[in-house]
Amino acid sequence: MSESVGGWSVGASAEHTFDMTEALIDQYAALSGDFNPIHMKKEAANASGFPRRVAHGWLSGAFLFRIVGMTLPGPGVLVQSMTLDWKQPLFPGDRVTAKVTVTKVSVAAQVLVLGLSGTTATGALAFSGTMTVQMSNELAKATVAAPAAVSEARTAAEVKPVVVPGARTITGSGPPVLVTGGARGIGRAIAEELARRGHPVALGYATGAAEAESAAAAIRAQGGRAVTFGFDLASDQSPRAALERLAAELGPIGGLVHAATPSLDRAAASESVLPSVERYLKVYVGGALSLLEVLLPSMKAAKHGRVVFLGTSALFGAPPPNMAAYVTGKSALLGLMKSLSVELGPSGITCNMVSPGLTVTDLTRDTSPRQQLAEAQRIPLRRLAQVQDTARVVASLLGEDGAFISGAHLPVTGGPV
Amino acid sequence: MSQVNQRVRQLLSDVLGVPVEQIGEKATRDDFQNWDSAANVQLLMAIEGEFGVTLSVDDAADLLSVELIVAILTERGVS
Repeated sequence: MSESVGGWSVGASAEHTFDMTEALIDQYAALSGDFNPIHMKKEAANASGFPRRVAHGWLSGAFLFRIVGMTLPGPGVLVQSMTLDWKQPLFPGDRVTAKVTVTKVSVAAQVLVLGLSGTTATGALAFSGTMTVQMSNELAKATVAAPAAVSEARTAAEVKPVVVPGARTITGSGPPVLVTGGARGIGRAIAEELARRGHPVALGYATGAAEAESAAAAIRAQGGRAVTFGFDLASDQSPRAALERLAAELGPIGGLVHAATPSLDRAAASESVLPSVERYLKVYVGGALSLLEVLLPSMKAAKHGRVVFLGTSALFGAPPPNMAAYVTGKSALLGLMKSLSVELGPSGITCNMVSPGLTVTDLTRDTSPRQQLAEAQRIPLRRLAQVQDTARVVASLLGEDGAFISGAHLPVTGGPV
Repeated sequence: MSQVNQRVRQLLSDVLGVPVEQIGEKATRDDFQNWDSAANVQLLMAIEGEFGVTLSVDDAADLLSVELIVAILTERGVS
């Protein structure tokens, strides 16, 4: 047994053999725009002392990425850096075996260092280098199984199935939903899940329009209906005009998922946290109220509406230290949820809060590997929350499954906390 | 496998009375019935002796898996 990351230990390797062809060189030239004559014309290559057209360097390098992205380590990999030395040119007709070998493993950092090589059929080294990759979100997978036990079974011939997140067909239909904070993390997963269940979705964001648009495009690519909704809930402006434009585009908004959050402030309550508390209140409570002021009339008219606030597991039991402002802001939102559920129930509108445990997202990426390991070990189900865990619960509340649930504060924490 | 991981598994083997081969590099307290609070006290002392570190009360509460113990030692500069 040896140390491993994502099930891969030092010495594990995978390879892929490909034939360099003129067609590949043409395709790569079209893709990259590199039509240098040495690649495109035999005569130009001859003039430089090469017998045939010279393949682009990154064209052969691309097959290394095929291995890294698909096989070793495969889905979940994030490439951090690489170096590649080209030892000799490759020409059409060459048969090349690209190989990736694990040379170093860092469990704490979830990092693999990979040796890269490409050899021709004659055994000549065409290229070699190194790559550093990180495995993402390792802890969010089921942690009980020991990946080390299966690592030896993996060979170059075995390609892990490619899991495309959200590659399910759209099922059902539902009213349009606005998801604040919908461009990333848990909010994005909620928007994706709602779209899968047939809800047109608006992905709210304050900054990062490109990220929001990319998330919306991903949903549309899966057959869903998604638009972006840029509005800063921390501002003093009314979202009325923006929401009216949104309703004109998607139809009356029947659901609000409020997942937007400022970044995490870590400070003790005894320090000067009032400005921080106000910042959270502004986005959580102020944001909810200003959006609902505009959205509620049409929900009331339809006698149907769904409101879900994203909470936090810190609201159950003893909160962690140095999170006073965040916990206070979410606590206020919990209070608002309870009041709204009582007041809006007669109008056919439900209001609930869903509170996930530690989920590895951009918001929580500053938690150390040790904190994540410790938290996973304290959770009865022995893993951290995944964004999908929360997304499915929220989506259920937006659909028929949630028809008679209101005023509830639901933990998505893998057990009592 | 890192040397630290190997040494931690050896300590666990001594404390739990289980052959070291049976302690995986990702072993947790769920894997051994006798990895209880009493065993953790012995483990704490064994770790402090083996690695020459002083663990805090918070550290002691986190001695829940081989990986976690290695992470704690890494924070302490043990490599």
